[in-house]
Amino acid sequence: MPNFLPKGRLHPINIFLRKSIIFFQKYGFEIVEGPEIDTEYYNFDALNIPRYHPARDMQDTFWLKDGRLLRTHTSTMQVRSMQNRKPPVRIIVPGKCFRHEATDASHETNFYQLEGFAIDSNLKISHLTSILNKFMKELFGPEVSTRFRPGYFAFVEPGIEMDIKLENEWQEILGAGMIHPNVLKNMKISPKKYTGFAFGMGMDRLMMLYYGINDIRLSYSGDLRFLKQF
Amino acid sequence: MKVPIEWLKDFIEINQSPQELADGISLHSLQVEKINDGILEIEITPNRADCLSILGIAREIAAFTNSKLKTQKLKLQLKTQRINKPIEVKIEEPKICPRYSYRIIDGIKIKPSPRWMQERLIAYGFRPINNVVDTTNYIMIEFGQPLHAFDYDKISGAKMTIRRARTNEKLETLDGIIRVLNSQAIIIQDKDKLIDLAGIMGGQNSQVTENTSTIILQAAVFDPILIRKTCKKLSLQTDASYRYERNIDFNGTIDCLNATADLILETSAGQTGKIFDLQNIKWRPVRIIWQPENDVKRILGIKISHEKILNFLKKLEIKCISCSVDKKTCLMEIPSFRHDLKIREDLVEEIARMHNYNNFPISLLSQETPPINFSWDNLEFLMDLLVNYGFMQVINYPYLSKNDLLNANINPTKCLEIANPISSETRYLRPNLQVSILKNIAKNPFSSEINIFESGSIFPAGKEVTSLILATTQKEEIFKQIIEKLQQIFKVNIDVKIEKINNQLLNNFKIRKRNVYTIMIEDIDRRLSNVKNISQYKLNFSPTKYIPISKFPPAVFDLAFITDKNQNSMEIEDEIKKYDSNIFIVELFDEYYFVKKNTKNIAFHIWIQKADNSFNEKEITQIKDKIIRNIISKFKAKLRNY
Repeated sequence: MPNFLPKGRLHPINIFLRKSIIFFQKYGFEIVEGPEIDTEYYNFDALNIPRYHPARDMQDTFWLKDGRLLRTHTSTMQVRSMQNRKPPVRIIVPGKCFRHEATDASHETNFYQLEGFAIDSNLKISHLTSILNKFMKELFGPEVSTRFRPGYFAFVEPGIEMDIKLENEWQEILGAGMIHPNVLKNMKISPKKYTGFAFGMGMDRLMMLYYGINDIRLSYSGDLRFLKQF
Repeated sequence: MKVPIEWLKDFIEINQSPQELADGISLHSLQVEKINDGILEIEITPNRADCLSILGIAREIAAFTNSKLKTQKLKLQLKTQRINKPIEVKIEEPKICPRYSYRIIDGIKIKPSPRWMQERLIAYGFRPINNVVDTTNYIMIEFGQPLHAFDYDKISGAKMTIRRARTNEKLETLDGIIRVLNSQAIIIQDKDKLIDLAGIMGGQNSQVTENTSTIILQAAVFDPILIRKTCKKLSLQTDASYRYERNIDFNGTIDCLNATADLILETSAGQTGKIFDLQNIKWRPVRIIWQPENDVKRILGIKISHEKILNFLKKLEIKCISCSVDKKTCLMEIPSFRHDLKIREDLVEEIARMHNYNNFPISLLSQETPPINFSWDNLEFLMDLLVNYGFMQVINYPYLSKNDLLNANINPTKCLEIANPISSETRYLRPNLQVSILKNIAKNPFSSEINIFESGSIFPAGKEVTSLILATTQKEEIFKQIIEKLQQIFKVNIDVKIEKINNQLLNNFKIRKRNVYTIMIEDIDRRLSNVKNISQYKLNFSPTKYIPISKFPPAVFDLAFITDKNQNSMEIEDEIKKYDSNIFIVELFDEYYFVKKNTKNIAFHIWIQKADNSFNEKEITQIKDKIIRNIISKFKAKLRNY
């Protein structure tokens, strides 16, 4: 391989995605990608978030003039990817997502999400909490404390959130849960025969916590003073 | 929602510290985001409308601490009297208003509410107004039931009709804004005018003022979806509409009318009439059939006894109506305030959170080999290659402004447009990667050479394609080498042309560098998806501590040394960083060997910055000298002059 100077570098988000993907690949998760522009159906309705449900407020959306939208999460691929697959499956979906939010040091209109889900005949919530614990310890070291709390996402039931403790403070890092029976039905999978779990985490936030970055906007600024540090 | 702990104590005994209480609430029901001066800030998720009240939170605490709610007693003996002020209420369509309860209070004196009430309202975030308005707000916060008081004397014909608005009907709400309505809005009308935007905000013309002496006190249930549609249309949200659109307790109206009358009469003269209660839809409790032990085991993976499960649910006021003889199947009845419980999985969640998610056993998935996603792996491997050629990865927003497009000579009407952009900067989706990459170059005037690449989605002609772009401010030869290398490795024909950015474009983007070249490869992921057996991309994951970049421009200077040929350059790089806290990037940009002399030449770009200012020449020289002195003595190096 050639070696040119000064050295090039990957974007820290990409480094984080690689690290995460390699972890989940060890457990048989297949990488699936999907479109950034998607329909209301895959982004909301298929995920048990009907049009006039207040749960839609949790994900403010950029709408295109043609009626499509910029996906607010890579969970769009839950129902999409199951159109040509049958359980058991283990899937991860990395990708850019968009939220219609005013930006500041901790809010961005675009961010990277890593979605993961698994469907099988014998999956329990403990499979979910165990693998997430293992993953966070892989990222932040075996000593890191983690905790799970009840959470609400319309496409899972039960729903949970996960925190990690950094510098003596709990930091909220991801949402997860057991795939809602209505979503399984939209995948044409019988909720009586199968259970599934799903999780979605923001790579930007994890990356910021890991490197101690104070402003999420730097990521997309193209500023070499930032990019050359990783 | 802000929840004062001292207010919770009206409902439940609290012996824990605020922090312990907050942790308990977070682990078992809803996230406590902050504790501030005895006030908990709790994030109420959209499914838990029942917790948009002090009572709701107290109920949760009672459930997970295994304690009992204090029974609320009316403070006064509420005597109703016959009030000779009739009012006729008609609901045109049952669905829009399933329940309408009201009473009249007569002979009221409007004045400020008592201080303790004002203090609690302020703690929650309301501005105190007068005893009547404050009391309706107070009861709403306490029990979650929105209330409204009308001035009886302002209602003509002693008649109220609840109906859908007609298209373009107008109503001036309490905030003085004239609202133009459609048939999604629920309104209340008297004999000759609209008086209320039901469930959202009262009308200006029927509001309680200091001259009011008789009120109609309303506690109603309105259709959540219609309320939500109207709020969206009017871009208006109130504390009442927020609760209505999340669905309130169908059975809460009577208690709240009693509690409100009780409080108003405690602070004012007056008498109250009996409660009228119009119910056009009969409320039926939700019932769920499930298999407690089985369902819990199936989803949570733990065994909890039948009795324990039912006991958890009993604490949440979820009753077991009947059970099969073998106790396998049970019929549960859901309390009227819990609209989120509809299916058996919902009951399992109640068990899980009472049990605590952190008490589950460890059950790790088996390790397996997944199917390979070649287009992903190949693209990542390609990026590694570009990094080796000295290219930095950038990630840009997908949006562009009209100005960006015009600067790049692109017709905006040919681009995909966002219907609700946040600002003009987020209006169009980029049709190529070149515009953003030119903006990147313009943003980095301090860097003497720029080699960057981006791989991402572009949206030409309404489509979405993954594309790759490389840009350099050095010589175009490097692109020829890269293209050749790619063709050799991926064995695909990459027909790209090297583009020299013309001066007009450079000027439009305010780029001072004159030699800027780009290459673009569209559809890169698909082109690579059929290539198999390429080596694996690498992971370079190390705990770097990020140094915040300053608002002030950095200074960049170069230093070159001659060292022993075996000297590790990284070691010098790390050493340089130690000499001054203002040094934040040290970048090796040249390294070559003098074979005969057993030495090598190494050269660094050194970036320095200050948080509060830019540098003057003298300061730069000082830092430079310090580095030179130290490197020469520590590594037996020589300074090399250009």
